[in-house]
Amino acid sequence: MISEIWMRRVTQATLSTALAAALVGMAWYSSSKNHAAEEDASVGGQEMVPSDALDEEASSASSPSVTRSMPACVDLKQALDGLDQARAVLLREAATGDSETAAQAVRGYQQAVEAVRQNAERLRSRSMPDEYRSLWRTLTSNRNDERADESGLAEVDLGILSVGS
Amino acid sequence: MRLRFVVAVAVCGLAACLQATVTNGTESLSGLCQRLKNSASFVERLHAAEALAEYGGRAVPALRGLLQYPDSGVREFAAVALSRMGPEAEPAVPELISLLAVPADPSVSTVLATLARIGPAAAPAVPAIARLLPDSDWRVREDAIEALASIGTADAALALATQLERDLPDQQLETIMAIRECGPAAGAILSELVEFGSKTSDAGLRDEVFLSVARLGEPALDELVLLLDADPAVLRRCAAMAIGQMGLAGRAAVPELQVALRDPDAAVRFWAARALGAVAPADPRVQFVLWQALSDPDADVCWAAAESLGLNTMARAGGTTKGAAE
Repeated sequence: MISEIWMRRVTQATLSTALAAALVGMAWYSSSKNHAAEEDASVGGQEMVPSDALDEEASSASSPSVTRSMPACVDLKQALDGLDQARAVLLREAATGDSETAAQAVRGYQQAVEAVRQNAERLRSRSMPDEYRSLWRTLTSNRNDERADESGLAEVDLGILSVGS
Repeated sequence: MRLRFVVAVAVCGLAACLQATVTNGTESLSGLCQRLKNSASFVERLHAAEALAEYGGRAVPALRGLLQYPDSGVREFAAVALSRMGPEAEPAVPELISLLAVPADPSVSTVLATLARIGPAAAPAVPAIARLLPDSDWRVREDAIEALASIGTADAALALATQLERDLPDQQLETIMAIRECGPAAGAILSELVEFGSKTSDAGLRDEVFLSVARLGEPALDELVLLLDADPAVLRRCAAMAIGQMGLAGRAAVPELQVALRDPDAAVRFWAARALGAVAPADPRVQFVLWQALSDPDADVCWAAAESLGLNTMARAGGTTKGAAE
């Protein structure tokens, strides 16, 4: 009888210890997993943010918003507006069927494209490569030209200059 | 008796649960290696690789053995485990190098990623990685370039410079960016970089090359100063732009930049004005020539001089829409 009571107590003690150990073990296991996950996240974070990007931002002489006030940028904006107008005239005159006015509109359009090209080259030579790309995006984003994509003014790059020539 | 039996079963069950819980947390190295070798499940192998990585340096000898295993899948997961360790996996570099020599080994990309994670300590792998660069598979080429950039030693930069000459035009920008990642070690290829930048006809690429040269800081200054006197004008422009990017490290170039401010090419004068403001903003001599440049016939040069003198900033802060250059 005594040994049975003793046996029961030992069993209860063993169970309690085992349960406590299991709980401690699980807590340790989950904390080590969380730690590993945190490390993974930090490693992943490093991968997602290239150090170059930060360095470049820090070392950049000026931001595109500053460069936007540069005369080359202002002139390019005007040239782009002129191109929009010249295109509208060209489309309108082409529809009328008058060959002389249509030829005049083509010449105006060619001049407008050339002005854009010259001002674009001027801006390219006076801005950093990343600034230039950013300025292109800004300048072309509001234009009514489906062909102007992110990489620049497709109308000029694709050689629309050859229209009418 | 029945009670004893029930208690014994309960204790055994609890102990088994406890053992299972603990085993999952700290499964033995050999057990994990077995799981990585023998499991048919991708997920289970990946878990085994990650668990092995948690052992750190202690697991490296076992993983070195697995890198020589005949099954390429096992080799790949061993490389995954090593890649998670980063520089701690350095002792496995010889085995990783020998895997790069296996023709068309499916684990080559993982091996390259592992070497990239090991970083500068994987420097002995540079010749083996460089041999993969002319590989026709663009993915292997990209992984090899990334690995060289992460290793970032002078040898790695040299291998990238050699590749730059072989690259197709649309691949060169990526290689230039990788060289830039090498940091100061790219100083070993300074003259190659300047030469490449001087002869390339791609304006965007040329700018990126000279920006990479600028990242080298003061050691590159002499080369850039020499270019301020070079022909064609586009080289003088790039040199002035690069010196400006150096910030105060380019201070020694002030006399040459002052001369460049009288260059016949407006773009050179523009970048000279920007550079002077960046390398010596508080120097009274610099401020004097910049004030003179405010009367330059080119509107952009005036703008640049005003920007360097801080006049545009003042104008912007004052809320006026008219910049000083205007």
